[in-house]
Amino acid sequence: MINETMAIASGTWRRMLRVRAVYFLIVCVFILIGSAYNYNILSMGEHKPLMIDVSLVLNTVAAILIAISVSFEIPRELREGVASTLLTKPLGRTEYLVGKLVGTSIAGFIICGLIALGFFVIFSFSFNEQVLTSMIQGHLLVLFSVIPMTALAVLFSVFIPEMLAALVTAAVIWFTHNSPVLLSSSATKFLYGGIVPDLNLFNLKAQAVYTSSISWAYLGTAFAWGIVYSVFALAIASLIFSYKDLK
Amino acid sequence: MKKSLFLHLLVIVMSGVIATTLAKLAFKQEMDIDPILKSRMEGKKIDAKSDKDALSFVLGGFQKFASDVEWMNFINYSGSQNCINDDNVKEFTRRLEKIIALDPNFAKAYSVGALMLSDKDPRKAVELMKKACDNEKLNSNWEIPFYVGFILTQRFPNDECVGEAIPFLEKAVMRSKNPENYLVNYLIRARAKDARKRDKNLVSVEHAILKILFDEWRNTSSQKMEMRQSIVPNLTERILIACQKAINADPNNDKVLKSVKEVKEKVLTSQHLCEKCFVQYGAGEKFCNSCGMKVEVFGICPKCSAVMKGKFCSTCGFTVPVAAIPEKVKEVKEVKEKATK
Repeated sequence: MINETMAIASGTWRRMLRVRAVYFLIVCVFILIGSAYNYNILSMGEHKPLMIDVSLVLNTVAAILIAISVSFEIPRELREGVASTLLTKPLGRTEYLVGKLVGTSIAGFIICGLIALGFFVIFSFSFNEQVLTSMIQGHLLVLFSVIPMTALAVLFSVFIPEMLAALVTAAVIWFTHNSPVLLSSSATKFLYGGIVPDLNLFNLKAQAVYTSSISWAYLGTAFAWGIVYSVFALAIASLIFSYKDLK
Repeated sequence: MKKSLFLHLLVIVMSGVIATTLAKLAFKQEMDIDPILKSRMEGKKIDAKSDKDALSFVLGGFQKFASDVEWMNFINYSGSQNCINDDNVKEFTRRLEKIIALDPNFAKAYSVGALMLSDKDPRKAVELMKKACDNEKLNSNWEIPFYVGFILTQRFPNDECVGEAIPFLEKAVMRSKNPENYLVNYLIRARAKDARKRDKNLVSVEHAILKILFDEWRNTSSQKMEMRQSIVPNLTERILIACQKAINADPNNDKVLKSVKEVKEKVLTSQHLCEKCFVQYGAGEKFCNSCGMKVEVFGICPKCSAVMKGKFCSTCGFTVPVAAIPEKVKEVKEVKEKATK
C-alpha cells in the first residue's frame, strides 16, 4: 500500500518540479526579494525588515499556489480519465488521494525551501549578517502550512469541478488564515481547529522573525495540528471519493 | 462497504477531536505570543478604530508586509506635502493609525510619525506614543518615551504638561543602558520646571535643579547600601555643578545660599570647595583660582608646609599620624576591608 502511495506521490512531485516555469518564477521571487534592498531611502532605513517581509509573503504565496495546483490536477485527471486508468491497477482510492497530498506537499517543501534558502543567501550578502534562528522559524511556519492547505485542496477537488475547486480552495485558505474574525463569534468557536481549519496558527511568521518569541514547542504543535487536520480532511475526501462514479 | 464507511467515520471523528485539541493548545500559545490577538479574544478594544482594526485581521498573516507598504506610502505622502497643517493633519493621523493598527510594534512609525504629527496635533501624537510605551515588545526602546516627554515639554505652552512628561523621561533613562547626558539633563530640567510650579521658594531654574538633585541624593541615601542606585548617573558631580550654577545665577539670594550650604554639609563633605563660588581647589592652595577668595588650606605638611603627596612628606619625611585621618575616611576603609574579606 505504501509503495503504491509513494509511486503516486513521486509521480506528482516529479511532474510539478519538471515544469520549467516554476524555476523561472523562483528566480523572479529572488529578484523581488533582492530588490527590497533598494528601498533604503523610500522606507527610511526599514529596508531590512522589508526584505524579510517580502520573502515571507512571496514564500506564503508560493505555498498557497502549490496547494491550489492540486485542485486543478485531481479534477483534470478525473475528467480526462487518467484517475480511472490508475484506479484499475491495484490501487485504492484513498491511496490515490494520499499520494496526491504527499506528492504535492513534497513539491511544496522543495519549492518553498528553495525560496527560503535563496532569501537567506540574499539577506546574508546584502546586510553582511548571519541568518537568525527566528528567520528560519518564520519560513518553517510557511513550509508547514503547505500540508493542511494541500489537504483542503484535495478535499474540495474530489467533489467540485476544476476551476471552481481552485476558487473555493483559495477562498477557504484566505478565510481560515483569518481565524480571529471567525473566532469572535462564540457559535463557531467550538468548531475551530477540527471541522473548520485554523490556518491562523501559521500566521505568526512576523512575530517569529521580529520578536523571537516563537518556541519550538509551538512550531511542533502547529505542525502536528497540520498533520492531524490533513488526516481529517483526507478521510472526508476519501469517503466522498469512494462514492463517486468515475468514467 | 459498511466496514469502510465505519473506518472512515472513525478516522474522521478521531482526527477531528485530536485536531481540535491540538488547535486549542496551539491557540493558547499563540495568544501568549501575540498580545493583540489576546486582546481581541478577550473583547478589549485594540489600537485603532474598528474598521482599521478589522482590516488588520483579514490580511491573513500579511499584516507586517502591509504595514511596510503603508509606511512607504506615508513617507511618500509626507514628501508630497510642504508641512503639516489643518488641512492634512487628519490624513496624516489616519495613515499613521493604519500603520500602527497593522503592526503595533513598528517603532519607527511611532517615533518619526508621531514627531511629525506633534507640531500640529501634539495630543494625538502623545496618545499614539503612549500605546508604544505600554507595548511589551518595545520595552527596550528608550527613544519613544523620550519623544513623549519631549513633546509634552516642548509642544504645550507654559509648561502645562511638564508633570505628565516626567514619568516618560524617567522611563527613557531607565530603559537606556548608558543614558546620554542630554537625556538625563532633560529629565532633571523637566523635574525642576515641575518643582518650580509647585514650590514658590525656588527662585530660579538652577535653584530648582539643585533641589531636585539633592532630593534624588536623599532618596538614594535612604535606601539600603546594596540597593543604592540612582537613575541619575554621576549624581555627586552633578550636584556640585548645580551648586555652582545656582550661586552664579543668584549670588546674593538667601534661599539659594541656604540650599547650597545644606547641600555642602550633607553631600559634598569630603570635597574642598571655595565658599564663594563652589569651585574645587587643590592641596596647598590658599586662594580660589576662580574667584580669588581665601580658602582653608589642606594637604600640607604640618612640619615644613610642603604639599603632601602621600602618607609621608616628600620634603622632610614627616609621617601623618593615624589620628589625623578623618573619621569618615576611617569608616570607608573599614567597610572596604570587610568587603574584601
